[in-house]
Amino acid sequence: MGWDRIYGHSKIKEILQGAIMQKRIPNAYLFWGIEGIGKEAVALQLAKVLNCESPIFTKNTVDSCDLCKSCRSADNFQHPNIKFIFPLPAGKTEDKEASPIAKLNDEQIAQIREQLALKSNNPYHQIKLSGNCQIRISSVREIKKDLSLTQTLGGVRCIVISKADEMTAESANAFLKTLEEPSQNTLIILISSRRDEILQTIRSRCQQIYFHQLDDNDIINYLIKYHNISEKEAAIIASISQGSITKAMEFLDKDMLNLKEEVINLLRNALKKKIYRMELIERINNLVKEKDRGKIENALIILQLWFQDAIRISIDPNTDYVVNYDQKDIIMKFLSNFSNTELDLIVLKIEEAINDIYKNVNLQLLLTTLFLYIRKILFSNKL
Amino acid sequence: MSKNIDTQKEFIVTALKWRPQKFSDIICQEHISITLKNAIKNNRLHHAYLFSGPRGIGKTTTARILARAINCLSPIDSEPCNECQNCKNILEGRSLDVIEIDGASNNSVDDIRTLRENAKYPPSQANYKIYIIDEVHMLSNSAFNALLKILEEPPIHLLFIFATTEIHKVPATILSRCQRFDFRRIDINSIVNHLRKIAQNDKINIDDESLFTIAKKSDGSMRDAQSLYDQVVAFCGNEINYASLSDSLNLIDPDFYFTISSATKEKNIKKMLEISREVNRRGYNLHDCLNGLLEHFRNILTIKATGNTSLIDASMDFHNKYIAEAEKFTKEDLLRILQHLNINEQSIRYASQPRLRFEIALIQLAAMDNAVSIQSLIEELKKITEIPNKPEIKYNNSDTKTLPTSVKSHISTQIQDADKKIPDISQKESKENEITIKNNIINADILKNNWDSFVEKYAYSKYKVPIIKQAKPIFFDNTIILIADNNFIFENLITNKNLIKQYIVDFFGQNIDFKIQLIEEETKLNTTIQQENHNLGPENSSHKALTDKENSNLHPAEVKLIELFNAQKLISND
Ligand SMILES: [Zn+2]
Ligand SMILES: [Zn+2]
Repeated sequence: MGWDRIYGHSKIKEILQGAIMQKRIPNAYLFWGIEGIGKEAVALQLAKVLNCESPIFTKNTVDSCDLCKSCRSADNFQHPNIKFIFPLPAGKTEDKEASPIAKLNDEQIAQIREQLALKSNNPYHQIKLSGNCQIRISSVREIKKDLSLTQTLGGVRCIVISKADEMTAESANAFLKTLEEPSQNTLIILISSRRDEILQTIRSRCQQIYFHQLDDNDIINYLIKYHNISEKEAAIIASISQGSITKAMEFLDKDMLNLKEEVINLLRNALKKKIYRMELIERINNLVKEKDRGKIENALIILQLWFQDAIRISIDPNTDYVVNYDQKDIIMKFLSNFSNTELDLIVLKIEEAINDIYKNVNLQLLLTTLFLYIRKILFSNKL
Repeated sequence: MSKNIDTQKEFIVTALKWRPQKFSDIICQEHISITLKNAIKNNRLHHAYLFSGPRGIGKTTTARILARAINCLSPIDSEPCNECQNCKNILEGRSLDVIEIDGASNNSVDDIRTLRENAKYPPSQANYKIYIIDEVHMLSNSAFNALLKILEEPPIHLLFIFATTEIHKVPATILSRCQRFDFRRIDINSIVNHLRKIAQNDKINIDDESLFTIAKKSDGSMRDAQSLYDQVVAFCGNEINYASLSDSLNLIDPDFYFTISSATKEKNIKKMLEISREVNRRGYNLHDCLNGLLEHFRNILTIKATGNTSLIDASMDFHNKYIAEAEKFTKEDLLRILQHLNINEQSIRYASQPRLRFEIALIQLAAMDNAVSIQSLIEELKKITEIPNKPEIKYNNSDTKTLPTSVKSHISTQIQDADKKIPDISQKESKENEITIKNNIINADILKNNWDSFVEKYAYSKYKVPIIKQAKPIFFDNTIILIADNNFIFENLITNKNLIKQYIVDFFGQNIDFKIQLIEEETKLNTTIQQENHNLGPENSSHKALTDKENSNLHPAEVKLIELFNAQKLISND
């Protein structure tokens, strides 16, 4: 039921259920790992199970019923026992005693509502608020105040802190004591994709659980379920998303299938023996005409993966460890024409170019230089 | 009818359950507990103590024990009895005479003023009124000033114990009025022994290799070790062996590194590809992987260089494997491998596709040509390989044996420090004394001679810029130019320019001209490509014009450099 909504992380789910059943839930967890893999989703599910009114037990598992009042209010972020804390924009007043929400204007509050509604529909949604968002001392004060009140409901009070690395120094330090000697029956879950940015004194007080990147298959399934795209496109996106749903989202609506074709045509053109220059420049002009740096980045990532596949196939022609499985024949043909070349240099050069995209360079020049370099490397054995 | 999961927690985290209650329970801080006990015995208490050191090694715990020992009604050999009314009140947090304040949450001047008001009144049931201020570094400036006023003329009944992990944020004026104790990191053996005791008590079977691994990962902090232990128990249950432990902590299996070094030796590219795929499948953190691999090859090099395994930080089971591994490589091979991994370890953080970067790094490892002469690189590399894994930790097992003298000397320096009012943070001042400055010019030799200690200090400091190590410095009077030999290092130096600049000023004590220069090995290649592109439009020519303009007002040092290296791109620090 509830746990089923979460992709991957089977070991972690098993551990957490084990901890519930053996009553070994610590004061605080720190869930860490790259962005977009479901750390918050797992934390919120754990909180839901701990508060469910009729949890479903088997010998080794315990899940939320998803039907009771508690589960439903948990899903809507309305559960009095479950606090979901995330970085908020700065308020108008600097009154430290005021609650963090009280300081925001109507527009900001509407935005928060909207974001929470999205998150409630899709546990993988990333809360995005405008402004300089941090977890300020007012949020920590509110947590402390909540915890100082006597608990009236059953279940476990859960405080899930998203992007815990966005705590200001002031709030992080103020939070230390709460972490070490928390009130009864309380679980704090810190979430972070930048664990190194969290004070060591905080980390040291938590059980830290590392979340893996997701399998490409999980990402494909996610994209099909929540974003209604074709399996073929989902597969391309998954292959360049490094196991992160957040990354995958950046490629949505980008028409990756067409872009891939464009890139491969460009490469094909750059590798013509004769008279390639005019056409190459024309194609490049066409690619950069919207001055969309994100699009160029995607294009170069596709190109990089294509060459990486070429390396893999050149090392082991029978390998199924390729991203562009639809390109295998073309890659084989390419390899027979350009055997014995330093493809690794090309992959690294493309990486360099990707890093240069956002440095205010001329995109046309960047791409032309890159393709001439690729050409130079590939033809160096031939000319 | 609600059937909430029964969570009335029986579980108390190990760090709390095993919190020491007596001086004699505190692990590895004998130099401090003995001194404190003596001070109590001889009734020579200071009015303010400052406990500093990294997290999780017993600062707050010691503060609480000290408070109880001082106010205990029937102390036993200067230890608190933990049973009398005073001890009980303190243990339960109900004492009116021992007040614990979280400096981070009560950091305003008003908080300290309130404290000052209350501190005036003598203790109600005990000899001393004791304030424990934890995380004292978080106090605001005005709060520190208010605190100073009490410390300058403390009432006779008042005693402060401050604790902090960030001593450098405590003002010198406060430091000079405290007796300071530096708590040390706990050595691996002590952690292992303590965890073994805990496990026995919990009836959990855990093997030595697992204990060793937890201890090593916890970096000298007992609390970290205890949190890790809890986590492993939650994952593995009552039977813990190395396999289940590494699974639960997502540790990278050491065998895996041996597979990589074998594949390197055998030049087995196909194997590398399989390893890369496996790494992705298991979801290892790629950066950790490269770090582990660096440590692995450093271990091999250490054995190669010293001929024995006494210096490597690996469990005994692996020592023989390492000896065998060292046979396979020459010293030069190892230096080159380390150089290669080191560059990749840094660049992978910025790679847009880290998986690809990792895979290429492995493939290149197997494709390394060991015939190439690398004499020029070796000097550079020695520096890299000499970095111990975590330079700031010094595990010192011999301390317990030589306790009496070391305690004595330690304390006397502490007190001296306090008397001289030169706190630890004033390193800047002392450095200035070391470096002689004539006419406000620091000459090239002085810069050169002090550069290594500069790098040592800052490359791995809190806001680390290890990239400094990758740059070749060139020194002129009052000028340092850092040469980067590839674009990645160059960009990194540029990104960290202000920080490095700040560090240089801090270290050398005055403003020194500081520039960063890129001299690529591929310069030739780039030039040819640029020539080919010449008909592409205005970008190229405008770039050239800029260089010409820059040329007109060059620093003499830059001119010299340009002659030396036939260089192109200069970025100045303003
Ligand atoms: Zn329910
Ligand atoms: Zn007592």
